[in-house]
Amino acid sequence: MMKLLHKKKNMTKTEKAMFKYKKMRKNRKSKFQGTMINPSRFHVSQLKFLLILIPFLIVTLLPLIYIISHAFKPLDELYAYPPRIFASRITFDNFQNLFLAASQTGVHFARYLFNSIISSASVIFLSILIGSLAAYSFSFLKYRVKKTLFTLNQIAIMIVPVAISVPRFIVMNSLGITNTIFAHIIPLLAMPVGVFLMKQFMDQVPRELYEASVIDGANKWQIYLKVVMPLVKPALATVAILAFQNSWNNIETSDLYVNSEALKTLPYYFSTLTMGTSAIAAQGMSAAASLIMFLPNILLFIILQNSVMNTMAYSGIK
Amino acid sequence: MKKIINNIVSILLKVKLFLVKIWTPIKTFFKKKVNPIILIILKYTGLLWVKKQLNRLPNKIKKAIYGILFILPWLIGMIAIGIPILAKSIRMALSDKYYYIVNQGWQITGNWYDFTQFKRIFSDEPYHLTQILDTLKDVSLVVPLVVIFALILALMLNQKLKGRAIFRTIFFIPVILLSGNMLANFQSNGLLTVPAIANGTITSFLTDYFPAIFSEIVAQAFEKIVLILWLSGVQILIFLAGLQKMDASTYEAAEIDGASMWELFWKITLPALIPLMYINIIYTTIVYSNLSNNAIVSIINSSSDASGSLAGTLADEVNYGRAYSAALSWILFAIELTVIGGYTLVIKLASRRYE
Repeated sequence: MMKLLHKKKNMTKTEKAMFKYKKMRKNRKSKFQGTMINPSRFHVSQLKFLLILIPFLIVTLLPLIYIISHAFKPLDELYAYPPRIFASRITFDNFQNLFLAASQTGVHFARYLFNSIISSASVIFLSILIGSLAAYSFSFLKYRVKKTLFTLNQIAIMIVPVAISVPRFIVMNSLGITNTIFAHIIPLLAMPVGVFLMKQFMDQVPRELYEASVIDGANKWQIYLKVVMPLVKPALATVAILAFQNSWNNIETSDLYVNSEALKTLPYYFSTLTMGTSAIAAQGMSAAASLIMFLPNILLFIILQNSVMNTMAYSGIK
Repeated sequence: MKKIINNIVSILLKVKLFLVKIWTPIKTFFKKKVNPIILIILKYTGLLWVKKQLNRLPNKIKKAIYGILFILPWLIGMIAIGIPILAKSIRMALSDKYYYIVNQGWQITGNWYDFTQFKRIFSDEPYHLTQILDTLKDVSLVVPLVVIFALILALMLNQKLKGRAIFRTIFFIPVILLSGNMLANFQSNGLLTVPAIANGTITSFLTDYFPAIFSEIVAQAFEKIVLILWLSGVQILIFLAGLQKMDASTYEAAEIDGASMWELFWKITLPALIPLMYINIIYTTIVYSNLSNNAIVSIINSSSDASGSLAGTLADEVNYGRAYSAALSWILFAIELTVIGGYTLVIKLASRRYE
């Protein structure tokens, strides 16, 4: 620093001008980082955005931190009022209690896990397949009943799921899928929200691309598979996450449609575990259970994160 | 260590080579334009004839057939499961009583044109009427706020910013967490508000200095700030997709013509985002009003025996019954429709000057 000042003092006029210019250039360079989408350096010009974003960020993250720290709290802190975000003393008691209770039940833990994984994997795959086919048809193809069908979809979105549990049960029963593994899958396949989201994202895909591929001789299936699907990846990933969540956290299906214990799923199992013990211990166990239930969500998100965040790239068309 | 890894890699490469060796003849076989086996199958199953007939059809019908073909899996599900459920739900809402008798199944009493349950809601249950109005108010407050916050955050996240990917990821995380029971858990723990607001400092300040209606709205908005941020994950994504589609050269041209940041936003960014605004309004309304933390859903939950037993005649006797809750759910449906319709109209009127 001293050296630099000294240098500055002894500079001639032209040297000073050069110094100033160089400094300016340097600053400029760091401000305008070409066409890079993710700048690698921090610059003061970014500060204003950070000032707005960071408070929101903290507020968004609070409940997330809470879930994680809640599972490691000792009993007295679980009931503290006002609730504290961070645990002052970390224990694994809650997990220990949970596994202790788990070892005393008749059906093995792995059985529930297996049911859960099978049902949620098939829900993700099938609901994306069915939903994206329907969305493609809604968005790109032209026929007469399309609008009516889409209105039907809109109506189906807006119904509260709790209110239709009885009609659902009756229909499931008449189709004869209660008490099988399909009872976990088929009620959740209809994801009108997913169809809606995918349709809206497909509407964003430029029509020129569709026309160009028609001219190049692609048939409808090829366009669907090779043009549209890669472009709506963020929507697919989002719907996958929503579908997984819907299926993975679902207690209702194993509660209502399945009788045999060997066909029930993991969230139901955890809920029964916490029901069996006293209410005070149950609080800690359910906190631990909710953390365990939450981990696959995060895992799936990390896998899909890249395709969610790289919102559509529209190369070639402007 | 390195040797082991090298060995594994070489083994994997060998396996891959082997697979390619097997796969290539199959691939070439199927890639032939007219596959002999498939042709025979087509001929003897009559599909070739069908194809010929299809090609003869007028273009319009052909297009319709393609459309229906793609939508077929969805349509089958809708016809087999969706429509019966909807129809049964309507019938439930329009009945006197819907109850379960062992060995006989579900029974219905009452004519559909009596509208018993709706009469009951609007004349006999004043408390529920206020709950319905509260829900309407609540939904119509939260929806625009979520859309506005999502828009602001999307604009911020679209800026050139160090660590932008991390920011985007964090704002999307609530989507993977958001579920009804999780929210109820948060609400009971008082996590949906920021501590300073819960103390009432900001609220009292607002009521002192601003007119009552305004301060109430702002106070409620602050109370739900976490919820609003949590709900806006997917909406941010939708807005970002729209923003990224925007042409950079348009902005450059406008800048050369001397437009400021403010003008750029109002004259270029916003008009392009208006169709996405409609989508976000619909999505937010649907997601928010179906969360279990609003008043109507909690009534429905309590009167349709949330513990799950379908033969819950006891719950029907104690609470309001399933027919009542079905009617309530259709009222919630009407609320959603009014909110969506109202805001769509507002945006349509506001965006008229862009056309």
